[in-house]
Order: sequence, then C-alpha cells, then structure tokens
Amino acid sequence: MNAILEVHELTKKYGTFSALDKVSFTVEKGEVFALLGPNGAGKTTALEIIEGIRSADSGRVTVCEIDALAKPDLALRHMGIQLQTQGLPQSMTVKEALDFFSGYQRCKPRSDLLGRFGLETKKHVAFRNLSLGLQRRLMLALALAHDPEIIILDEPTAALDVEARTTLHELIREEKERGKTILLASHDMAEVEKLADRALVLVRGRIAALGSPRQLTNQGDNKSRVSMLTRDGCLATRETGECQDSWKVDAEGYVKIRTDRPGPVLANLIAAIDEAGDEILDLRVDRPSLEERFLELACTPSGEKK
Amino acid sequence: MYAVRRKKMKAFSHYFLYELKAGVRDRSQLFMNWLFPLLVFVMMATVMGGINPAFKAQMLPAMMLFGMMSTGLLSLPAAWINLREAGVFRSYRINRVSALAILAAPVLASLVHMAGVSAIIAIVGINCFGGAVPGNWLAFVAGWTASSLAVCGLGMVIGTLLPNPRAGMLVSQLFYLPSIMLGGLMFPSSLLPPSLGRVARLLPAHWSMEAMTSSRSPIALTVLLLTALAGLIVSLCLFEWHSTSVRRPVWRLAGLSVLLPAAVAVLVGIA
Repeated sequence: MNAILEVHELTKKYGTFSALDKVSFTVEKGEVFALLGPNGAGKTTALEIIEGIRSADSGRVTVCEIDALAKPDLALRHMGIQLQTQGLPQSMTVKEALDFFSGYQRCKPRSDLLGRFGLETKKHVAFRNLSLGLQRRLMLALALAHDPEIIILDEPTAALDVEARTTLHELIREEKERGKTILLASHDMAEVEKLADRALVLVRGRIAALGSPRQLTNQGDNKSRVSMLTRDGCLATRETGECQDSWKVDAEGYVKIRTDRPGPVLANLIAAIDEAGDEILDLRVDRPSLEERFLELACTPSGEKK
Repeated sequence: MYAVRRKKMKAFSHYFLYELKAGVRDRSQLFMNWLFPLLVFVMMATVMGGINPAFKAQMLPAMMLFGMMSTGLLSLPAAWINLREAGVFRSYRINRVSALAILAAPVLASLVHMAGVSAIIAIVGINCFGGAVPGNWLAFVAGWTASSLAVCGLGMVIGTLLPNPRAGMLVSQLFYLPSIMLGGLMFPSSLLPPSLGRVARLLPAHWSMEAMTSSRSPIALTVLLLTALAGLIVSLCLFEWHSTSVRRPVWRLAGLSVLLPAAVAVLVGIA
C-alpha cells in the first residue's frame, strides 16, 4: 500500500478558536478512511483545506504527490468531492449539470453514471424537483464524473432515509471495489463501522484516536454489555460480587452488566439462576461499540490522543 | 495548450448557455429581465409621452437604461448572492470553475437579455410611441454597450460583496432609485439643482444618458468603461466562495471604488 493523501501538521485558526492543531495523517490507496468527530471538531475544516476551498495557516497537504495547498487546481483533478453543504442552481437539470461539470473537469460527460445512480429517467428534471436522496446521488455522480482517484464525502448520508442510505453505502462499496480511495466524514458510527478500513477521531481540532474501527473500539475500556431478563427476577436481589460497579437493573427488570470477561460472568449468572430455580427469558451480549468509544473520546476534556 | 483552451471555451459556452436559459426559466429573473422593464416602458411611453412631449427625445436611451438597471442591479446581484448562499459556488470551486467564469457567464447572458429588451424598446418605441431615432446609431450603440457593462460592473460588486439577499437588495435599491430619479431618465439632469446635479454625476446612470444622448460621449464612455473595469477588478479580488465571509465587513467599502471613475470626473470638473 502507498499513501495517496498525506496531511502533515495541518493548522487552522478562526480568530482565537483553533479548528485544527497540527493534525497529521495519511490515507493509503484503495482504503476507506473515515474522519470522525463531534460538531466543531475540525472535520469539515480539514476536508475543505484538502479540497482547496479553505486556506490553512500552516502545514502540508499532498494529494497524489501534488502539493495541494500550492496547486489546488491540479490536486482537484485527482479528487471527486461531495461537500456537506453544496448545491446546484435550482433550475439546472440533471443532464445540464453533468455536461456543465464534465466540461470544467475536462472530461466527456459519462451518461453511464446516470444509469448507475438511478438518474436515467430524471435527466431532464430540474435540481429543485429532485428528492433529497436523488440530489445526493446526483452530487455523488458529479463527483465521480472525471473518474477521480480519491473520493471525498462529507456526511454523505445525513438526512437520508434508510433506503437511500443503503443505496449510497452500496455505491461507496462499489467504488472501493473499483480501487478508489474514499475519505469519508460522518457522524454515523454504524456507517463507519460498516464501511471504513480506518478511522481518525478529531476532538477540538486534535487527533484523539486513529486506527481501524475494531482497534479504536479495543482501545477503550473494552467491556462487553450483558443484558439478561429472568422470569422471577432472581438476579435483581443477588449479591453482585465482582461486577458490583457496573451492575444495574432497569425499569423493565433487565439486569445489565459491563464486564471485560463476559464468559465467566455469564457462567456464574446462569449457575445462580439455576440455583434459584428461575428461568432466562431474554439474554444479550454486546461487544463495545464504536459509538461508545467515540463518546468516551469526545467527552475527554483535553481531546488528547490516548 | 490549444486543446486545453478549446475545452475551457467549450465548458464556458455550456455555462453561458445555461445562464441564458436560467434568465428565462427562473420566474424572478424572467420578471426582472423582461416583463418588468417592458411593462414600465409601455406605461411610461403612454403616460409620459402624452404629458411631456420632451420625453420622446430621450425615450429610447432612458427606457433601455431602465431595462439594463432592472437586469444588472436587481436581477444579477440577487442571483449571485442566492447561489453563494445555496453553496453553488462551492460546488463550482470543487469542479474547477473559475471566479472569472462565475462573474463573466451571467454578465454575458444578462447582456443578451438587455439587448433583447432594448431591441423591443427601440422597435416599439420608434414605431408605436414616436420615440426619437438616435442621430448617430454607432455612437448610440457604443454608449449602450459601455452603459450595460458599467451597470453589470456595479451589479457584480453588489453581488460579490454583499453577504445576504436582504443587504444586496437594499444596496441595489440605493443605486437603482436615485439613478432613475437623478440620472436623467425621467427628465434631463441639467434641470437638477447644482448640489443634486453633483450627486447625480456620481451615478453611472448619469454617464449612460450622456453617452447615449450627448455629443460629449467620449468622456462618458471612458467613465463607464472604467467603472465596468473597476467593478470586475474589485469583484475578482474580493470574490467569496462561501456564504460566511472570512473578511472583516470594512473590506466591503472597497466596493465603493467602482464609483471612483465618476468621482474623479466630478473632482477634475469634466462632468
């Protein structure tokens, strides 16, 4: 694998607010790389600097071995971008948009994209008359029109319904299979867990964590959640022993335990239930999720890398 | 190199054609570019032509200028501000559309709309309302061209520097209404009191009427062309891709430099 995008000590301040503080990372060719962070963490600022639509105070961005800060137009040839907030003129039709942007990207309009993105029958429909999901698909089609090596997607599925979201996920997977590199900023942890090879968590303009979703999850307290409901509720009154700190009973009578050794704990519980002549009605064991790890990182006061 | 230039020109022609269509497709643009100036023309030609026969002498330049200002000061800046607010300029940026193209394509499309409206005014004005035929068509066309460019230059500055549609409309009106009242469209500027006359000379409309009606058109043409150039330079230098400006509001005052050619002409007493 070789780096297709390199960000080195990128710094950006808005007045006294530090949006990015010496952020460095590399994206390898062919991977889906996710940028995570709470609102105001610096994700969009980082992406917009990479895309050349905002300037950086200091640092270096290299896209396909091109200095993207010094030669943004040249770097843009290699990037297909879908911004978080972008639009098209309201009366521009789908076909006009494809012709227009293909012209400026100096490539032939790819009518195959319209079929692939389910826009073939909407060719002559104005942008304002497309649903939000179709508008997003059109933006993605426009981003891919010049067959870029890197695809940058900023919150691509925000405000989309489940069906449109699933379709977009499929399209992203297809692009990955075609060997494209995808840089994805998202608030949706499930989306990142599903799609990303690696993720970077930004908190207050600094890198708080970097690694595969599994690695990020394991970097936390790594405790699984055991939820159990019994017929007579024998566990609710049981001595909690080693799990005392995380032992909770919710309003529905579920006993919930957080533990880094779910196997032995479960064995003990089942033995206790047998002993009491009770019966398990519902049982669930969940691994720690990326969302929990993200919340843990986002709530860390300093946002320092752990 | 030649191939790249050809591709750029082809892309720009797509942009220009789209803008041309948008000027008719978009209802508010259709109204401001065509319906409003033509309705006012028919009304003014009927009413003013009846009560003030002298109006017929300046009917053509006055009503053509009115049409230019409807397009260049009201429609054009609003379209730019709305596009920037909707994130369209950001889409353009990431697809390598230049700031110059974003400024030039709508201006060229507007010039076509202005020319269409002016042609109707000329034909109907002369044949139906007794409007005076220009003595020198060549000088008149030169004056028309310089005027339309100057109006677009002013509109370009408003569209580039104003942060939202409300502020844009307010500043547009600040030029639009005084231009109609003082610019010589309703009555000759020479009838104004001296103090108001000096204010009127700061407005491109005054120079437009001079360029299209007076024998002193070379000076007026120079002022108008410099106004258009100043508008283009200021707009290019202070062009914003985002709706949230990173510049301090004081930078917007630089837009006043578009009035500099007229101000210099007033100061050196050639007005």
